Amino acid sequence: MALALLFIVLALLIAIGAPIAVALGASSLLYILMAGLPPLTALNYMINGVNSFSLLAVPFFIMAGNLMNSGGITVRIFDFARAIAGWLPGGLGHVNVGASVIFSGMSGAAVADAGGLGNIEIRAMRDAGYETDFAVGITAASSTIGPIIPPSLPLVLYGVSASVSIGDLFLAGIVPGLLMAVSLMIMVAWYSHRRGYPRDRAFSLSYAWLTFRRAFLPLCTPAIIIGGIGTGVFTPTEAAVAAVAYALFLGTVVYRTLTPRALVRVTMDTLETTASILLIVAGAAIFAWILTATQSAQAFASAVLGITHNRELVLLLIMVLVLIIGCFMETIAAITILVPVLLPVASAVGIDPVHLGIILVLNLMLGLLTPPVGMVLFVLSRVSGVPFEQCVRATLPFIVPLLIVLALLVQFPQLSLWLPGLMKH
Amino acid sequence: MRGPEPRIDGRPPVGGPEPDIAGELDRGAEDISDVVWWDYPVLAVFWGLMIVVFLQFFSRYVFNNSITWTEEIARYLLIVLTFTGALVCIRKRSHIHLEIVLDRLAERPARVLRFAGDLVTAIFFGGLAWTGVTLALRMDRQRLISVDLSRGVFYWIVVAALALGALMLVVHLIRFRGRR
Repeated sequence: MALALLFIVLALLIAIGAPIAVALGASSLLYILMAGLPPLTALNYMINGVNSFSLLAVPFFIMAGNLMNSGGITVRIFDFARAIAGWLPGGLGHVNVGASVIFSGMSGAAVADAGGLGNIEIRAMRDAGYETDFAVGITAASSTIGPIIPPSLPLVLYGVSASVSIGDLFLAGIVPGLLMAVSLMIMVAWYSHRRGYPRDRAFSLSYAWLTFRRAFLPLCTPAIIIGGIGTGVFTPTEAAVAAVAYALFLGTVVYRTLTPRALVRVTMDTLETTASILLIVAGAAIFAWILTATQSAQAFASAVLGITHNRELVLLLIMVLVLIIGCFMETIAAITILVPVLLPVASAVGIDPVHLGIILVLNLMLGLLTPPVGMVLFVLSRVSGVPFEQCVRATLPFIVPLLIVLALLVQFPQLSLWLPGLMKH
Repeated sequence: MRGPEPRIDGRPPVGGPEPDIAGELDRGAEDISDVVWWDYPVLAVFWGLMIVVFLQFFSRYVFNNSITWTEEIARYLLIVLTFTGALVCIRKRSHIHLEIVLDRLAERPARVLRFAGDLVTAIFFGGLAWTGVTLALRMDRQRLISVDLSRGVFYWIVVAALALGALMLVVHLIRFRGRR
């Protein structure tokens, strides 16, 4: 009864526009008061929720992404991708996906990818005569590759909640992320064939070399992050620190775009994003504690295991649940709340927690592309001026290839588990 | 999702007519007109955290032995950053929240609901600050493991940030009563 009230109050507070962190915390605090528990447990659990060394990767990866998003670096990456893939039919669609893949090796959030690079991509595609729907759809869909290919904020938070190696999760995301890119490129090729999309200028080796040289230093960032973690030289937090140090070096010494004012700007943006994410982590921590303390997680586990013990079927049930929740809930909150509930069921039927993490995050990314809480769609609608409803319709067909990748991942866990396994030997 | 709402410090909304969600992207890279003087202590915490973690990184790779206090201090600075940063987000209304329901309502009911949301936030922050005093008093007696410093210091900063957040919202509620 009190538990039902907890969820109703949460939904109401989110609906009336209270900060999501406050909605989580206030509904939990109400529950604590009604249950007659000492009220200071709330603040205590919130503080403990963010008292983690691994979470330090969050501000650093956000900072690195923000530094890379400024100073014309996104333009250099886009130009390079355009020189490589632009000559194909529907070239700018492929460029869109390719640039997202490169940028996802530097940034950890889909929303940042959509806002920075997405703006450039949509503008270029419209100028070249592509339909707005196609431009918006492919930009939205390709921005979800960001949090699958490392670095990734959702995967850091999953690793912290599930006590799983963040390094393993990062490595596990590489192949699925590339698969997403391939599936979207097949979709682009199919559209281009049917609609006769234009080619960009013809391929020129000298131009490709020129843009490669101009993009070379930024292109080293994914190598530092992924290479550092893959070879075991860096922990994820250290990789994040290295990425920031490298981005600061590029901004101050090489490109000299990072003036003191620009640095305050980047710091302020990073601070706001970090604090709003971490306050959600803190608020969700009390909520997750209540779900554990009331044995709701066990009740959920026995309910699911009462239906079936089949591994694929359990995974399917979990995914349907997460897909539905992902449509309504913000990613970070969903991860912190869902992990303690889903993990016991998953391990009971032998699902690898690393594999579960990749599937969970991909599921939640699809939630970013669907209404009512499609964060990526909101951002794209704002930066492109396309009405929200049109963004929703434009993106819908591009969810199909991503769903196919999700199905492949469920069927073949090795797609995600192969690379971390390889690195351990 | 985050719309152009009045800022709590009474200054005009930033970023032109359509500020966006991921930190007002269309604003120039050097435009810092939205930063007020009391953001700088919070920015200082952020840079302090950066420097501490950098120190640990370099001591491990360059000098081959990590400085022992950096990890613990970094964790506590992250806690302080979460709550003082939350204060900045309250002022700028940049906490992640949903606008889609309010956007679809008429001005009057939207205003009532916005008022209710702010009131709940103020009560929540105030309540946390209130319980936080007991928690901070308890932590005053505990020392950090690596440095001779009371844990209470960090808890008191958290309490102060929460109390200030509640206060700011109450003043805003009285001045604007949920108006945009």
